[in-house]
Amino acid sequence: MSSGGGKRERDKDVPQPAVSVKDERKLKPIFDLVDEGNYKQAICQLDKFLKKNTNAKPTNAQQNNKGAGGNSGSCVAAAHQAKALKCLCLWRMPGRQQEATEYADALIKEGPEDDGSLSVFSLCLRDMHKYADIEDLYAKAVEKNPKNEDLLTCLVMAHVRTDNFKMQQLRALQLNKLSTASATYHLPITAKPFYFWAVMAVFQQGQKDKENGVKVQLPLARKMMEKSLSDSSKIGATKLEQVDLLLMILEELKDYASALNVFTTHVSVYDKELPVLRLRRQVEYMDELGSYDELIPICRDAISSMQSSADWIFFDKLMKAYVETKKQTKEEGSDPEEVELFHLGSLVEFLIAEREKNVKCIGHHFALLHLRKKMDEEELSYSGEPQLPSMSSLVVSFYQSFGHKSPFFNYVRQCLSADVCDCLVGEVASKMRELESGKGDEVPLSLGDMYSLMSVCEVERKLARERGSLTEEQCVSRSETLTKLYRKYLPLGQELQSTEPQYSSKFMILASHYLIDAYMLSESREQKYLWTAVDRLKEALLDSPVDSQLLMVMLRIYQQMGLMQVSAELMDRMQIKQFLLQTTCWVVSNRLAGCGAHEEARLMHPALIRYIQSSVRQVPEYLIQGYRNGVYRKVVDMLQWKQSLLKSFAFIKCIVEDMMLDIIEIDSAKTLESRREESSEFLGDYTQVLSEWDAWEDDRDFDLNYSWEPAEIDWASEQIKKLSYDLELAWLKVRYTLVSTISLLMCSYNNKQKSTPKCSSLSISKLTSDFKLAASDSIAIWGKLRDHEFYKKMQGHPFSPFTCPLHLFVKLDLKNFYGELLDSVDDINNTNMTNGDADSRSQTPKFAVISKSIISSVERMATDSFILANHQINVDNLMELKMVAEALAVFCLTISIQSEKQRRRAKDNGVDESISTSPKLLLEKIIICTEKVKNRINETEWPAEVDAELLKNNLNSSLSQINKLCTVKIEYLKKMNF
Amino acid sequence: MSSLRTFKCRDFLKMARINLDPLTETYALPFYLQYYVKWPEYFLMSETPSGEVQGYIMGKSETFRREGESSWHGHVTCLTVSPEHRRMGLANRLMHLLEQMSELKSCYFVDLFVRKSNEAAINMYSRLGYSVYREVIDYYSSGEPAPPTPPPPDAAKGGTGKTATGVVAIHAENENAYDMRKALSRDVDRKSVVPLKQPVYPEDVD
Repeated sequence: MSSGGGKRERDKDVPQPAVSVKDERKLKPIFDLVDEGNYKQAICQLDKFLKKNTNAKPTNAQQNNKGAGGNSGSCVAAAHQAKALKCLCLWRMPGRQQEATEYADALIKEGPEDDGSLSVFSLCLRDMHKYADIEDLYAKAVEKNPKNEDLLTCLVMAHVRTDNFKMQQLRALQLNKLSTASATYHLPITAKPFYFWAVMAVFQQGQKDKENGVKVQLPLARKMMEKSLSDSSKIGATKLEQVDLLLMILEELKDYASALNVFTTHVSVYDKELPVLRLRRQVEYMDELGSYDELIPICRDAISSMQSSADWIFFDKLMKAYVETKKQTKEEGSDPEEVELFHLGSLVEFLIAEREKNVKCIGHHFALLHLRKKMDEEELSYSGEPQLPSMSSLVVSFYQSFGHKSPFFNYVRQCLSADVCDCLVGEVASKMRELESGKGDEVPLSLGDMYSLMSVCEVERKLARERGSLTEEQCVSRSETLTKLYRKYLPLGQELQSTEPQYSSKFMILASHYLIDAYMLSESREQKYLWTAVDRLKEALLDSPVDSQLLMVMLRIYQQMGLMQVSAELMDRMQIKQFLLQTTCWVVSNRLAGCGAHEEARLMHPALIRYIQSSVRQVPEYLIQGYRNGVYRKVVDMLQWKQSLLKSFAFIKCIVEDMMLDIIEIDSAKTLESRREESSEFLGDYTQVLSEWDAWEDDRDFDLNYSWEPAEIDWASEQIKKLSYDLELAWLKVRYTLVSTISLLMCSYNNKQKSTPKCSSLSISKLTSDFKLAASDSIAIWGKLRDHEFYKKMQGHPFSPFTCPLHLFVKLDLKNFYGELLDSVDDINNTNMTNGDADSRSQTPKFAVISKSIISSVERMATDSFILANHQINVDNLMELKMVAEALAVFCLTISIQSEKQRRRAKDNGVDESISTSPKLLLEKIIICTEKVKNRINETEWPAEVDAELLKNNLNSSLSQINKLCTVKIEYLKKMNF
Repeated sequence: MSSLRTFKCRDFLKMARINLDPLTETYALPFYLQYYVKWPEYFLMSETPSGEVQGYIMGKSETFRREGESSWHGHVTCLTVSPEHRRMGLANRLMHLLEQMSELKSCYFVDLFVRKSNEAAINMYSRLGYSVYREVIDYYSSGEPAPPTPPPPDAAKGGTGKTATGVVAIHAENENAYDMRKALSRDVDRKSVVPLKQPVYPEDVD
């Protein structure tokens, strides 16, 4: 960090306060202390400095300064800089943030206006997230020093931070005008970076308001950039950033003809861009325009010249050009054969000829496969030669050329119907048998042979899933064969380092998938198969200890059995952090807290929340850099990314679940209130969140594991992801409204006790009604989904994307339980508020009772088969236990806010006293139940395939945490005199 | 079969499978954004026709402060290919593109750092024409992230004291690195790749 206050002294035309050289020398060591993190010492030095600086008093300073340079001005500047620095130190010191905030507010009032102070102070205000204050400070400084370019630049960037596009536009234009007036070299006014900043601001206004954008802002931005380009072309000073900005605008306006024209006219400015990317852009414009007659020769040339390095985009666009033209001519009824260029036969001829020129070039093979698929789907055909071979024949040919490559299956899976799979397996059956059991028993074969075999095993797996033809026994047998293959081919990877996955790992992953099939097929969902799968995976992990695919399958299996501590450990082992956490935490997010692993959830939730919050705060600094570097496309992309982070589903999910943990573990309403404020800074207030509920972005990555499922039942497919998201979102809304209602209730009660105004204008009854609505909606969505064939099939599957416990919410009738509970508290609340009213005193407030479904659930917990029966873990039971404990915890909390007087009056009015004793009794019963289950777990003689130690540790830990929750609530009831 | 394009922020949502690979470090957002805004042309993604990320390369071009203009070079910061798409020539293609980019920018050479123990990577780079220019002692420190780690923009101005990476992989022991180089066409006499006889320390590396 540097003081930097003196650098504006060179600008003699602009009188302004600046730190004197003498003061700068005094401040320098203090800046060094701050850099070293020695804040305590820095504050001490700063206090001394400020004490000596007699002009530090703000009022005197302001009077003497009058915005000009000179001794008094420089003293004020030095004092401001010292204060800004002190503020930064206070903010960074633990426990002094409140003091820092007050200090900052005082300094804002003083209004520092010199570069150095503002620079340090804005750094501090950024840390404090007071972005609007930075805008205000610089705006005031610019008002006093309107000719200071640096201040004006900082002001534009302050607007960038807050997405204040309108002001950004005005200030950038002001800056451009100023810089043009002071420029020593000649460049058109429309060809300077500040001018582009203004255009960017207009462009972003247009993007924000789509409707008006197309009519007003985007045409204006276009006009501005066209003028800019024309002006600079005259003097041969066209820049890449200039052309690219115009192209961005034209793309947004979907004027691809103009975009193509601009691009080709000014292509020379792209001489530092990779040729392949330059060509790609041209081809994309042509494709958007439908200029297929121009596009076809370009793609053909690219494919012929690039050969094996030819980018897929050229194949893709080439095929699209032919197929679209064919479709158009078909619709118009004209004879497509008349247009030789668009004759599909010529495309096939071209691809086959190119394939023969270079048989190792995967693109041509793959293009033929895709063309076949496209033609079959669109029911297109053509007469003449050469005819495109059948899909089966193309797949077999592709296998012969590339079956020995590891991604073979991945490439062809979209083309593999059951018939095609059959054909391929039939064609290579004899070779497979040889590879499976023949001569390679002792001496491992080549890597190519292994992958050839693996490719067919993958095809077979898809076929088996598609037909659903295998029995439980056949699945087990298949998994054994695959395990043998894993072991047989393992020596091929003996040279690999421990950080690399073994070549044959996929055999073991396939083996574990067949065991999962056997588990799903078995009548009573025999978990022994899951344990065997875990065993297999453990074996493979000895050879590749950090193979994420092995670990990920294991994680899925463990979380399905409710073993959440080991699941969290596996996440750690895979180093899931930063954006990986955002996209993968969904795998465990429903079950961590849902199965009682509160401690583990308490680690994961804040990690993700912190990642998102810090990312959102950091992006603006890179937006500024992007502006300075002229990479406007990246600026727009980063801005959109920032918005999507704020709408991250994973983020709100973690916030809501963490707040629910706050609620059930609560010992202070103050904690809840601060959490509410913290989350609303990012989420917005309750009404806003609810009104924009559908804008949450599904950021779950479903492509984490290898999948061999056919499209219609593929748990990783977009279609299934959508179904799963609808359910998850509905469930989250239930949780959000519930959590919001309870926390508002607690906060307003807390405020009432303190005789301070209510913390929110929202009413409990409004929130309760939102909760009921959300619950009804989610139950309706679940009702529809449970008839879905896929949903039924995936129940209990380790890879199921439907992990939210909505079915238990319905089973326990929690909609009515919570609804009535909240109604009753709202009623009590209202009665309390109108305490002096004689009429209201005569009314008996409604009191919530614990519903029968909860009571009977607690009764069921006492049975000997609860959670554990026949060596099987019932994860639904475990989640039910947690849900009931959570419901009772909320019950205790809400009834505890009744005043003693109210309770007495209710009793006088004959309200059943059991309302005050039931939760305690039920909580005690749950504790007894968890202890019983723990005893059964410890006393059970587990079969050999079960990792008994791991199972005991995990279940005992979850049960203990639920147990602890119940114990704390009993203590809480005692403390509240229940 | 691959398709090449420059990186977009939304790619973060699709990078889990590739970044779960233990040799692919996952950094905090600023690390990536720094490269994204400074050297976007060096941040390239390769994806399958269905949009699955196969691999990516992230690099930059810069000059060593102490060595002057003739040290203007391209640098490979991160190269990764998902295990499933290895041995398909993808790494070669990505490296070739980075070299092509460096040629366009008139660099003298391209360099990279690799763990001395990572024989597979060293062999691959050797096949691509890279040779060991120097050995850097304890370049990879125990208990510390693997450098280089560009600072966030604040730190560049001096003084936030924050690191760019946040939580990173902890290595059990210090390890030497090879600084490998390949001369580009501008370095006609291939001066940039003449190996140093003595190992150097991290502080000698810019």
